[in-house]
Amino acid sequence: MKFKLTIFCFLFTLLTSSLLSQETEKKIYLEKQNTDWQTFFNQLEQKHGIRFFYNKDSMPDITIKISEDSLTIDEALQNAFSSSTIKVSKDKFGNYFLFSDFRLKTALDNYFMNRNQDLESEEYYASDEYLKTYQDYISEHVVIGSDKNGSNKKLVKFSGYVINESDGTTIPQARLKIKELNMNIISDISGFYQTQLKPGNYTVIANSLGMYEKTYKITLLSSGKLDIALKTKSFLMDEAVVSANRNHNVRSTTMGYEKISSKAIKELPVVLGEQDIVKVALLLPGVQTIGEISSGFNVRGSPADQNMFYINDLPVYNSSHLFGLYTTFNSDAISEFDFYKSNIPIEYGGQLSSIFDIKAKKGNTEHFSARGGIGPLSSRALIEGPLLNDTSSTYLISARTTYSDWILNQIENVDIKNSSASFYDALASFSLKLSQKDHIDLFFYGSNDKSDLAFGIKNDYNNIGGSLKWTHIINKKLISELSIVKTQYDYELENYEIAYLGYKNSFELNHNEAKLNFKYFLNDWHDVLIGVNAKLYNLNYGDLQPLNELSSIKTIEFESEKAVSASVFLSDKWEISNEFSLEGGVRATYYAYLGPKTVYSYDETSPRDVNNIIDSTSYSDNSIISDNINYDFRIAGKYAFTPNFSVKASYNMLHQYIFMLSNTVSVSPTSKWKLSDSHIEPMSGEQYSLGLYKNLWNDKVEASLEGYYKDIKNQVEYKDGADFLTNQFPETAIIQGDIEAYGIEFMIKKKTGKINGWVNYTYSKAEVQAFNPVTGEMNNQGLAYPANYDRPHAVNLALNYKATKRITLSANVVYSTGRPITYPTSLYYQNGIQIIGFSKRNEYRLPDYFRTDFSINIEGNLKKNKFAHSSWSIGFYNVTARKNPYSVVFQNVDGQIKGYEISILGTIIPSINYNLKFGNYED
Amino acid sequence: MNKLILIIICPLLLFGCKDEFLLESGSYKPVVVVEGVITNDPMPYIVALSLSSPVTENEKIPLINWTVTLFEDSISEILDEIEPGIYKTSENRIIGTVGKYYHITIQSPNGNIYSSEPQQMKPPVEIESVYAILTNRENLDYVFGLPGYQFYVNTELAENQNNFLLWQIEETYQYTSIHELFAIFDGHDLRTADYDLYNEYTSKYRCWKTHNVKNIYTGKTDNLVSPKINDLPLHFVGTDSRRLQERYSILVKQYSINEQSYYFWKNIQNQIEEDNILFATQPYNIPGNIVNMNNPEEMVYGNFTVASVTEKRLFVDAPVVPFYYVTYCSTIEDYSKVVPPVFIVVVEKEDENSELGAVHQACIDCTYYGGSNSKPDFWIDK
Repeated sequence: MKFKLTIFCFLFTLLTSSLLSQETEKKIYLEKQNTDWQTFFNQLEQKHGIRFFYNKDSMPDITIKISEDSLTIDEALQNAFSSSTIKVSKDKFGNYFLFSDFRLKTALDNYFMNRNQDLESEEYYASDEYLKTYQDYISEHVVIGSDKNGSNKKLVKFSGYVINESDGTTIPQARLKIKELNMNIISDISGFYQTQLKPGNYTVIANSLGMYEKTYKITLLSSGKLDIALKTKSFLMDEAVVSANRNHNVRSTTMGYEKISSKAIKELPVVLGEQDIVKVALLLPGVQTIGEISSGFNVRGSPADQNMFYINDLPVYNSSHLFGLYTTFNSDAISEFDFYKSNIPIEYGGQLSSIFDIKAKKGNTEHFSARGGIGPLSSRALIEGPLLNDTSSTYLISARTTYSDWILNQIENVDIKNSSASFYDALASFSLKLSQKDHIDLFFYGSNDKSDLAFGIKNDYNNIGGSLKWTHIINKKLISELSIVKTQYDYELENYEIAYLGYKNSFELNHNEAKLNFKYFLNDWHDVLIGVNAKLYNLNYGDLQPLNELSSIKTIEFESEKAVSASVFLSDKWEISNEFSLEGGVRATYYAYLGPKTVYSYDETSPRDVNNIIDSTSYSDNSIISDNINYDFRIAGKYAFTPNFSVKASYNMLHQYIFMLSNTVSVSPTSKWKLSDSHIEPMSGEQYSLGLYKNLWNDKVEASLEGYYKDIKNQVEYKDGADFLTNQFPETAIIQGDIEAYGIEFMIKKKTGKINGWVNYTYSKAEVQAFNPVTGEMNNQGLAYPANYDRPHAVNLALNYKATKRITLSANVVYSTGRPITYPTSLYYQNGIQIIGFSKRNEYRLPDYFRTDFSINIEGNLKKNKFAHSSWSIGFYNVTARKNPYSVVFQNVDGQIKGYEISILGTIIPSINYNLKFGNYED
Repeated sequence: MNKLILIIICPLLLFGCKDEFLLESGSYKPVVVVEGVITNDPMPYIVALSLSSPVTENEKIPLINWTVTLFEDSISEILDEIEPGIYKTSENRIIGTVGKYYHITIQSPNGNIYSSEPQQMKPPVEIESVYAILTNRENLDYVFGLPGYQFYVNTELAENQNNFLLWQIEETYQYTSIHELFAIFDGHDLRTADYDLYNEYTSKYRCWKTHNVKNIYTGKTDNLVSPKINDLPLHFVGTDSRRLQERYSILVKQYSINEQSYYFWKNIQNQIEEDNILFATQPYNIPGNIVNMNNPEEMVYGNFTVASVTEKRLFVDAPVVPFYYVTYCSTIEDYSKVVPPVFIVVVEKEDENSELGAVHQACIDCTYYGGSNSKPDFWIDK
């Protein structure tokens, strides 16, 4: 059956009147006539309020002939359509349904109710409108509390959870509108909502992204609870692309924030057959990357190590697969991610620039379900379902692996044939509801990358970790969340490019964390968050060991590192009035760098160099080498001029204690991490933001203009030619400097409709200065230079067009200024060899970057109840085949310097992906 | 490492990712360049002074009328400017001696004084062996790889643990012109052995060419279990040129230098060999040991290197592998119109019938490729 059902139905008023009129089953007799079916239906609709539902496309050309009087509608239709495949059915309200091949049993499912008006992009909204009214009629009337308890109270509490009817998960950021008071309540992160109302009768309209709106009539007598179960929309095509609830952009105090659902990820053009959350992030304003192959990205002028990925509270220290082409998160298993680049919530400490908070999907509460996908480079699978037949507990397990090895083997080149590169990742999520008040989430995550390049580099890196979160509702105002997190990132590197220098080295980072948060919903105006957090870092740099008997290197022993940090934090969201709200937080962190370790002291006035070591001190295990207390602050305010227009400002102060040791332009996947120590101060960052937010056309379009100024102190920069591999004194390779970044970001989003998407423009600058006036250490002669990722102008366009219910077309257009490079400005000779004299650091730029991607997503049929649902994604990356320079290199070819432009993915790259899921389309 | 990755990713994604472009002259600011070495070889020592040139030009800009003074401990010697920008010591005044300290000062005509730090001449480390291994090198232009010799050096066990070494290589190869002269047409007749011009050109069939390998190699022993370097890879010579056509020789010069100079040359080697296309390190100007005493902030390129030197020669013969250099010369169809002398050679045809043909002089004259037809003194035949 063709699924583009254009079903005719009337507005609510007609519906109710028809319902009322049909209750008595009165018979309507028809006059003699000979008309086409459309005119016939129209007449009946107008005269008698009878509604006909049909698929316009499948209706045959039939003329209704009524040759005798007193024929009923039933009889007339029966006669008219008996010769066609159309089956006529009728519900108890007297509505007629005409479908080819099947007869309708009972009342229609909600999703058939699309209004047949040529509203184009309004179509889905229109259906929502209808549903609202439809639901209104059957809305539940709930009496909450009792007279006895509420009679002499002025205000009573009204609270509860908003949950997803299909899987029992709670829905954060759902909106409850109290119609009579024109007041909105938003559910919190655990799906809990709470407010205070005068006892009385109210209409509560609940809605959330991707859910059918639901209306309740309540009679509130005294304080009480109403859990609201919303139904997932079967058609998610009409879903908003970005943002959880419509008013968020204007109403909240949050700035520099995006919430992106897995749907939005799904709708993006694919590259090499994989949808990737980082690729989505790169389309947002203020997010830049050095190039296609980079294990990181840059947010608002910060280096890549100032971002952190959290998946269900678990930090992921290396989020790249295959040299940075992919991200280590399987998008099938992700429900959404929150991306903070301005006022980072106070519960996060430790990263100056941005937080990627990824939420893995929770398992299906109803039944077992499975899905998978096959792409050109990798395949993935996911299973989920209720745990131990207990509907309140679920599991979800997903895995993804590559067959890039097989592809490499098909290539004729000997060295490529002998090389290998592969990856996999997996996650498991268990959600256990212990009681009405206790919920446990158990999560495991792992990823692995292996490469063995025929010329002598073997590399193997892993992320592995688990988190346990216990959410306990102490009372209606107070929720506690206890999380224990343990994660490890490690790698092993073997290098045998030069036999006598052959080495192996390993690195291991252990991150252990415990945190306890209390969310205290003090009253309508205050949401308080109090928490403590403790982290223990263990970094093991391994030894640099000879690889085999051919190697003659001495083993270099690297001392491991250990540090603890303990934080207490407090924040409050204060809704002063409808127009004005404030949010503030403070986080105090005690950080201690611990032994065992030998600490060298250097002549303070000379460059830090092994030759300037004047003393060394040995510290025993767990003794404090250095410690400090730092305070982070968050202040944000919003003033709404109108419900659709607000201005916001924020200030952030953060500290970071762990950074990446990397001297490469783009982040290589084998960079080590290093803790701040007695020589290296923690980095600190301040950010000031100011923004204007305006929603247009009934919130369908969001526009925002944000400006920021960022100042990072103690930024770790690397001395020219710094080598970390054999250096036992990393502090000698480092200069601490400053980053100054500022920019303005303009974004317009259309979240719904046949055509949705966003366009944004960013102007930004990021400059680094590394100069220590005391020791005289400096880079670039002490002058400020543009950061490697400084791209002043950037425009991103992401568009989706729902051609039909089953076919979605997507396109991205990306433009940015070329990144800065250090360019040869002169040549000289030594021993007859041409050597390059370079410009000041990053004085020049690569040509501008421009790319267009395109993809088409074709869904299998959209029947609600079926065994399996399949879809195809066909993607074209870089359709203009522009060779965007990734970098330029200057190479000495037989003594002569030559320049080469390197472009990665510099051609149109098609890919095709097949996805299969048991069950229907509904996600 | 990333060359490797690039090689993997490029074919995988079916695109050519490396395109040469012409360097543009950017904000050129001339910088003083110093180039000089003193060794324990008893020969005049040269210090060359120039300005760095714009990237679009290949000419050195000599610095003339500067004063270069070489110091050995407390003795000094002013160098003669023998040609523009080239300053030379006299034959036998200062002779590099292991254990002594050397440095230079340079005075510009406008009174700036540049100086290097005194450095001690380190004792030499002997070369144990130089050898070659026939190998197949990955190369995007050759699907099955490019065959050729990879050269290696082994050092003797040094007396001290910390040695900083630099290798420079002079290569000499014996090769021939594409064709051997059969006869010369003098306008009337084909002339052979009794004809002077014939003899002159016959002797230009085989040549020897010598030049420096355009790379340098560095190694150190402070990080090794014992102060001996085994199998340090030197250059690779493929069969894509005439180098390996008949016989090939390298003279490996091993310099024992101090740590500062080592890092200077190591940085140069890194710059030359930078193939880390994907995860390239931040480019930077290589610091040397010459400082403007009047203005220490001034950037000066180059280094004055103090070194003791040992050397070793190796000969290798043509390997039995495919060669990829051009071995074809087109013949001149109507040589009656060519002004004599016309060079006649035997041209082998595919049907195994050979015939005579006239060719251009380049086809029979090996000096066209820049070599000399006089055999070097050190050359030892097969």
